[in-house]
Amino acid sequence: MQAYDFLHLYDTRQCRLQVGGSDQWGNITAGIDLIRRLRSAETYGLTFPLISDHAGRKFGKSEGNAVYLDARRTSPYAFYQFFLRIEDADVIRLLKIFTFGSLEEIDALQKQMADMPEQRAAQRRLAEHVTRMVHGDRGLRQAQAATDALFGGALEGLDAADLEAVFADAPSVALSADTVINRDIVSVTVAAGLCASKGAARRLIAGGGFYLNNRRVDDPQAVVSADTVLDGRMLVLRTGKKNYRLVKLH
Amino acid sequence: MKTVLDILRERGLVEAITDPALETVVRKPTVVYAGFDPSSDSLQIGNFVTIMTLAHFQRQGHPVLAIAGGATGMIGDPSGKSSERNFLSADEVEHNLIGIRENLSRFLDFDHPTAPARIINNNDWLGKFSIVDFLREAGTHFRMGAMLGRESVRTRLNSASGMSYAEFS
Repeated sequence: MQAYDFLHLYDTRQCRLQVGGSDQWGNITAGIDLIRRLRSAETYGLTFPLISDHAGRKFGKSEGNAVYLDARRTSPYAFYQFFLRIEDADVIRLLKIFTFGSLEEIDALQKQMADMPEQRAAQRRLAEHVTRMVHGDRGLRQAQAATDALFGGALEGLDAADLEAVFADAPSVALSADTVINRDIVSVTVAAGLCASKGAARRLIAGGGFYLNNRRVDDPQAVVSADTVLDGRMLVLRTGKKNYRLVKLH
Repeated sequence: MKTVLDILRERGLVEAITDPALETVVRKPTVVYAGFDPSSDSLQIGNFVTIMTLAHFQRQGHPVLAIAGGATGMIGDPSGKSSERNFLSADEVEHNLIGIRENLSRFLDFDHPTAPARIINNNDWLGKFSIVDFLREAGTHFRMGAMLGRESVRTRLNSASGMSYAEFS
């Protein structure tokens, strides 16, 4: 049937070339043979390699799940992170395949990678290019904001799905809105299970070790106002540098 | 001047070509097509290589056709699949095609003045065939020996679930 497609496209659209993955070779040559026999005409085929990583694993899965181009299936943040995590051994080859960046630019990134591998400049360029192509400037900004959030950056403007993705490894707790909104920060901290007692919560906050949505709160009298709630239903509490707790309102 | 083949080759996007004459053919605008599996309403990273290859062709002035295998998706295709896929209804294929076109529009220019991209459902022509017409027109030209010799077919024939006649066609 696929061979017949090529014949039909040759007849109706003057199509003379089929491209496909190397597993399509048989289908492509079957089409070329059919056109040669029925139309006495030469048509052509080109195959590209199936992309796998340096260890031979099929490329395009993240922990076993396919990475989609549609934002409703794979968020721009998860998409961006997928490319950011590409290993050094694969990133240059993938830059050539998945971006339109010039070979000179890619060579420069390769040199930069040799000199300063910890900067991961090639991975960042790959993730930026591809995320912008697929999700536009807005999707890229959203993905980068979500990435920054994990390192203490601002959380305003991120939606609930992004927050869940960014803080997927942090424990979360569900609280009703009226136990949080317009309540004092000490009670909320205890309700979220971050501190064992109100006394402990007061000491933590007064000591400057408590953050609400990545902003330090050092006044134990502070009240959680409705406009601090992110995307209408989440708060991110943090003690110290990395100890996050996600509060989901219901 | 570099041809699209030179560009694809230096980027690691050429595994093989069927005929060296293609080098000359692509010096003039050449209509090129690639098939897409319509079994989902979103393309995946796995489709990315195909998309980028078509995009390089379009950027060098070649009109590109994205063929959604609607008919193929409705009866199954052995290549690269270890088991027969779920049969899609015509409505599901139509729905998925809208999503795929949207995905492709971020890479391919459907309004290009000289080398536009098109997305076409192969059910538009395969769906119109009567079984007798198809067997006369196409079936008589395929030799059983060659078809049974294909790697993808052999793998499926030797598997526990085997392969249906619909899929084999």
